[in-house]
Amino acid sequence: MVFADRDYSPYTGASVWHNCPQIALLDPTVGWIFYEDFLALPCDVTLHDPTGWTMQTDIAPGGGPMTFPVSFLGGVASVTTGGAADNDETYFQAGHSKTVAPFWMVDASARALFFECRVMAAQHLSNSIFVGLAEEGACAANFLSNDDGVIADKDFIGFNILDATPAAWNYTHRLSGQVVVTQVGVAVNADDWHRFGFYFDGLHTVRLYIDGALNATTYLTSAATFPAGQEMSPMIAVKTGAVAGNAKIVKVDYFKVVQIR
Amino acid sequence: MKTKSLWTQVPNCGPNLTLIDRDYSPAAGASVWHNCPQLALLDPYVGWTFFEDFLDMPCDDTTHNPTAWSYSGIHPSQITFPISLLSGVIQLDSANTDLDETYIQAGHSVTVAPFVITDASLNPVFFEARVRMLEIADLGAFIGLAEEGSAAAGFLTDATGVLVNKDLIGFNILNASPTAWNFTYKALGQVVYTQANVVANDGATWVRLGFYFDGLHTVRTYINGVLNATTHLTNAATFPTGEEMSPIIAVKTGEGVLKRIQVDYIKVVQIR
Repeated sequence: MVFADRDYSPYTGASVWHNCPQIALLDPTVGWIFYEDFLALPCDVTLHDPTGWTMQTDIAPGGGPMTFPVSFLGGVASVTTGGAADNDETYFQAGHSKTVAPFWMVDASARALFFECRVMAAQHLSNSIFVGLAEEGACAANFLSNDDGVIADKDFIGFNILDATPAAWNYTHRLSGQVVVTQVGVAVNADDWHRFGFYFDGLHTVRLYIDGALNATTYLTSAATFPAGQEMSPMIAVKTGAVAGNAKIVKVDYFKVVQIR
Repeated sequence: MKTKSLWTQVPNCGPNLTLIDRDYSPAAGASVWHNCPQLALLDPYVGWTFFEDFLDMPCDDTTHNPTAWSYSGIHPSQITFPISLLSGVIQLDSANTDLDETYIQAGHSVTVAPFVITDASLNPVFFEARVRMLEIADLGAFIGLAEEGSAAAGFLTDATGVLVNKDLIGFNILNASPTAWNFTYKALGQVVYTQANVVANDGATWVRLGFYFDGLHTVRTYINGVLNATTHLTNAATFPTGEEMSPIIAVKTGEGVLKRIQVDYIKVVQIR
């Protein structure tokens, strides 16, 4: 059961959260919730970097790889590559320690998982981006490959932009050691806001919600390429591509991830 | 089971469903939150919620200042969490030299300002803080929302506590009338509006100070859960309509005596 507001809530079925037992989750034994709205993120008093997230960046210390622009309401994190150099990169992964990885999808586990983030790429030229879940320690140099933005051989699931197709948001997942799976162009990147979500039903199926709309393609968690049983943590990644020139930026309004215990 | 549903007829907005407890919740209509679609807000696309209960506020190891808030003050140890108070309470001390002041504003960066009250926007805003002062003489204080970067020296004017020329809305105490909490707002460059003495400051009693913008033209205040009869129009020239703001706590002494403000919680909700 979901309580929706007639004026303010998405229409029936137009939200991944309509599948989620959020009222029952008020009891913490039911599951756990990661919700970062970037309204007041704790940051280091000297370098001003988030203290609850692991960071990897080419920006010099104190250079502000994550800022909070005044012109955006609702709490928005702006993650930038900073410099204009080819292959500059900035990554953040939830959890101060590189061992934090509180979410997983286990085939036939009866443990459903719900994910949504609201995100905007600020450019659509020679940049690569990833937002989603990735294995612990994924926040390290070259998580996105030089010049193409291909994601490193890690466990991950989420949404990305590749250098070669910077006007397209893709859905992607991978089990480390297996080939990457990609659904190309689930949304157009026109430097605008999108809501990217997915829902694992606890059995065998992952369904995508793109801007609140259920995507027709489903994915089996029993597939060899799916990161079933792999522990992961929310991650934001952005990298400048082969064409240097200006900093690349991804803005994130919120991350919400729920897993049933 | 004592949980029951409560339907509130929200002015200008229609009915709103709240789940309340027959024993623990405020009576029907005696809370600004009865107007708020909090159940729908479990979907983050509906709006955003700032809720600081001061239960385990992240603070810097050295300065002990909050790392998720901007800070302006002159002495160390002006921010504490007194052991004698339950439920998570932050205390801001002004320090004890005349005109000493302490301010904190939500958001580590001085650019953070996630809330805006925009006339006819259909984006309601809900605010409530539970607060008390420990002194009742020669002090200035403010709790509410203010524009980004307000946590800076002189936010409260020397010797008067008059609010600086910023966009702001909230509740304040002036040096000249230190036993009264006022409701106040200001648009940068305009004259300040004040509804004086919405509730007393007796230096000991906790008060709940809230307001609700209906998304159309009207702000209503809730004092200790009671709807105040005076309404405020967001299309008035003096109202900070369309101005981005962030929660702020401020205290300043007007004499060589320590002044303290304690805050139990601040909750702010905005509909997207």
